[in-house]
Parts: sequence; structure tokens; C-alpha cells
Amino acid sequence: MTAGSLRGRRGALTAALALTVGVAAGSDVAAASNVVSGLQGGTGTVTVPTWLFLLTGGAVIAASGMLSMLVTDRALLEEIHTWSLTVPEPETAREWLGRLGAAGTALVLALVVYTGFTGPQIGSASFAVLVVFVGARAGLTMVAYAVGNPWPALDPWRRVAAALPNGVVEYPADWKRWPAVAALLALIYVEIVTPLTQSPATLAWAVLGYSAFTITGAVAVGPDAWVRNADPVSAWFRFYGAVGPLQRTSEGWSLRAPGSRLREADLVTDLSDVAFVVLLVWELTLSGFVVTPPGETVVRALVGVGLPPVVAYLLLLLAGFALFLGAYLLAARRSRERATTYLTARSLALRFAPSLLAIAGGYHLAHYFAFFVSQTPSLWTALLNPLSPPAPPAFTRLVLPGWFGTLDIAFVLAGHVLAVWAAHATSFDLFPGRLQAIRSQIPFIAVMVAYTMLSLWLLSLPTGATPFVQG
Amino acid sequence: MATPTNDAAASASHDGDAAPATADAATPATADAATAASTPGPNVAVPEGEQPAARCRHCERPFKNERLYALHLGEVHPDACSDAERERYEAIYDEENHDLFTFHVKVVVTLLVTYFVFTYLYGFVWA
Repeated sequence: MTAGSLRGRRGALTAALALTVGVAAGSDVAAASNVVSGLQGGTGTVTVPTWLFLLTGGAVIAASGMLSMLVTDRALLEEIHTWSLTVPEPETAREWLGRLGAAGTALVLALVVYTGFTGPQIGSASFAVLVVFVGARAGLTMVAYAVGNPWPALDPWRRVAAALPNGVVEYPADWKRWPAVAALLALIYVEIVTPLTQSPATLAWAVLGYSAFTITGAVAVGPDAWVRNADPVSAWFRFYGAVGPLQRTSEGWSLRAPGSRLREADLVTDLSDVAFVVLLVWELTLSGFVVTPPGETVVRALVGVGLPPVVAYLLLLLAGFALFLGAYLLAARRSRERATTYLTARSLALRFAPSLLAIAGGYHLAHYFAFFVSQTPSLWTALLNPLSPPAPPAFTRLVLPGWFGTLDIAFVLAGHVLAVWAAHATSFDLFPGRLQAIRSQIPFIAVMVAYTMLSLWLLSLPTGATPFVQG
Repeated sequence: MATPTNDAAASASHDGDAAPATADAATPATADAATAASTPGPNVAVPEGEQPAARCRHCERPFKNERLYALHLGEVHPDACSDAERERYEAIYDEENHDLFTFHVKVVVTLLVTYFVFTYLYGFVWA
């Protein structure tokens, strides 16, 4: 039993080494996504040889996996994850917080649409672009996984739909969260192939289109069912928010250890939830990939074969998503075999999916933290004068010190370490044997090591514009 | 109108999904997850023609060997154990402690070796 797992681990380590050597042979001696390069252009490199950099990253994850295997006391794990500090939230406070938040967000959205059409048509000086991408896609998401899910207090569309006559049809329960997955795929695709960050008018149309879509949907099936199942933005914040320490429970506001919600069985209840979580991870990798030289090579190759660029990007989006989802489900199946259990691979996939959210959070932070910090003066300038913005040169950016690149690496690794820990705690919930629980983790840690090396490699590459669709 | 909460278990039951596949989700989130995992149904699958080595008499969960079943009884159904079962659980738990200790020693050694290898590599590269 132990000899087998040791062999398995050696095999995994050999595979990791082989992968690293292969990568090193094809690369030489870090920024982050099409959104970032659309607004501020590309960046640079690291001072350690790439092969050692990747090997170190993989080793950190493997080491954190091994370190987590040293914690095997069930009582201690239970204590860490159920510790909480709860503050009751009076019903009226909740109602008023929601109303104020929704009203504020509605005002901001109106301004986004208005300035998108009438304001300066330069992305870096546009209230619309700065608020949507710096404020919401970067900033608000960071609030979600660093603090807690802010969206229920801010969602204006839900309240609009609730005020209208709604619930025309019953939401088909079999559809689960697949509509949210499809909608998020569509949003990501639109973000890649349209010049949203450089053309505020396009962004304004996109916001109008999305508002129409979500209000229609919420009116059709009822706001509760819509928000729970089909609205991609609500699902986005709900899943990212599960990583945060502040959770809203039936008893009020609860402060817990970060990531402790990831251990629970009620967050991911269906394969459609797993698909959504994997998509959150994949879209970060994809948006990072398409602005690096290897990504450009792949896209140019696809276009060279004769595909129009928009089709090439769609193919890349769907193929990569299928690959990531397949890799995760394969890891779940291998975990079932290693753990000598009758629990289905499907149930293992469901229970371990929440820990992927920690990876998504770490990677999102790595992608967008420097971006957010450097764009803060521009965002502030835009917020101060939404209707009469100063000339574009007044929208300044912070020049970041060189060590910010190291921060990105730290965030990727931190996300993985939290994920490894959450999965470890979950495995102790699932299995009666402690060594059995540890063995079940090995395929997931192997996948995480491979994914860490891929992410770090992408971070280390210089970036440029998204080929064919961006200036 | 239900106020939005993070308690997906409550919302899951609003989906109107009566299929036993969501037995996990329908279980109150406060119940310990071990109980949710031991609820039988689509969460477990015994391959055709195979007979589980043991099946829990309280929750019907099948096990691939008798050791795991003994551990399960002691951890998930401690109040329903007979004296013999409790003794067996404690004996196997102690055995597992010993195995875990051996395993932990190997992990620590692996970590130390990894650390030394990387210190050497970086020293070599940065020299």
C-alpha cells in the first residue's frame, strides 16, 4: 500500500521533471491578459532561468501537498474549518444595504452606458472602460475572494426584475447551472474578440445587451431561480465569494478562516457547477495565453489553416475548456482508484471542485493586482468627473516597482497552497481512513503541479496585443 | 421573496429537484459532511458482479475492505458501536497511527531532500 503510493509519487515527479525539461528546451529566460494588454500594453521577464523557475514552482506545490499530509488530526482539521465569529445581521439592515447598493450600482451602470456612448473613445480615459474592467472585473472580484461575496448587495437587475411581474415559466430543474456556463463562455468570447477595452461605445452596447438579457431571463423564470442558476455574474461572484473569509449565513455575517467554505458539500452540487468552476480557472489561463508569443503562434497557425480569427478564438476557448474539464475529471477518476473507495468519481469531482476556486482566486490576483494598482489613479480621475472628464493625458498610471512581478508568482503559489489545503480537509471528511484520504489527493496534487508550472510559464513570458482582434 | 444567502442547500431545494442525486445537497449544510458522504445512493457505485467486503448496517455505505468499515463505524456511528466494534476501531486506529508515523517520516525526509536539491541548484545557477 505504502510502496505503491511511493511508486506513484515517484512516477508523478518524473513526469513533472520531464515536462519541465521539455518546456525549458522550447523556451528561454511576466503580465497577464488581453484585458491588461488592451489597456496598458505588455511587460517583461524573470531573472532566474525558466526551467529552474518552473521547477521551483512545481516543487512548492508538491511540498505544500506533502506538508498538508502531515496534518492528520481530524479534530484539529474540524476545529480550523468550523471556527467562526458570527455577527447577527438585522433584517432591516440587510434590506437597506441591498437597496442602497443596488441603487448605487444602477447609477454607475447608467453612467457607464452614457459615457461609453458620449465620452472620449479612448479606453484608458473612459469612465465606462475603467469602471467595468478595473473596478468590477478586477477590483470587485478581488473583494469577493479576499473578503466575501458583495454581489447580492449590489445586483440592480435582480431588483428590477423583482419589481416587474415575473415567473412566467418554471426554470427547468434539469438544466442546473448549464445556462450560466454557456452565458459565461459567451461573455468571455465577447471579451476576447471585440475591442471592449479600447472602444467604450462597444462596451456600452455590451452592457445594454447584458442588462436586457439578464432582466428578460429573471422576469421569465423568476429572479431567485435566475440568479441561482442562469445568471453568470451572480454565479461568478457566488463562487469567488466562497473563498473569502466573510460569509453570509442564516444566522448573520460569519467571519471564518479563508477557504473554509470550500470544504462544504453544498457549494458544488452538480457537474454544471464543476464546469463553471473549471471555466473560471480556464478563462484566466486563456486570457493570459493569447497575449503571449506561444498563444500568438497558435492563433496564427489556426488562422493560417484558413479559419477566420473569430472562429479560431472560439475553437481555442472551447477546446481548452474541454481539456481542462477533462483533466480534472480524469484526476477525480484516478483519485477514486487510489483511494480504494466505492464513492463515484462524479461525487469526488463534486466534492473537490470548490478547492479549484482558490486556484482561480490566486491566478486572478496574479493577473489583475498589478493592473488594478497601476490603474487606480485613472479610475479615481474617472470617478471624480464622470460626466466631464479631463483630457486623456490627465489619466495617469502608477509606475510599479520591479518586485511586483514576484508578487504575481507569490499569488499563484498562494492560491494553489490554499487549494491543496482545502482539498486535504475535504478528503478527511469523505474517507474513514486517514492514509486513504492522503492517497486520494495524489492525482489532484499532480494536476496542480502541472497547472502551476503552466501558469508560471505564462507569467514569465512577455506580452503583446491579442492577435487579429486588438490594435 | 427569499433574501439572497450563500446557503446553497436551501436554494438547491427550491430548484424543485426531487432526484436522489441531490441527496448530498438536500442534507442541511450544518450536518457533518461525513454523514452526507456516507448516505448511499448515486454517490456510491459498486461495479457489476462485485460484492463489497463490508456494508455499513446503519447507513448502507459499502467498503472495499473490512478495516475501512471498522474505522467508519468508530468515526461516524460512535454511539451505535458495540463494545467489540469499538475495540476493533481503536486497534485499527492505533495501527493506522503507526502507519501514519512511518509515512510522515518519509514525507519529512522527502521535503528535506527537496530543499537541499533546490539550495544546491540555486547556488549553482547564481554562482
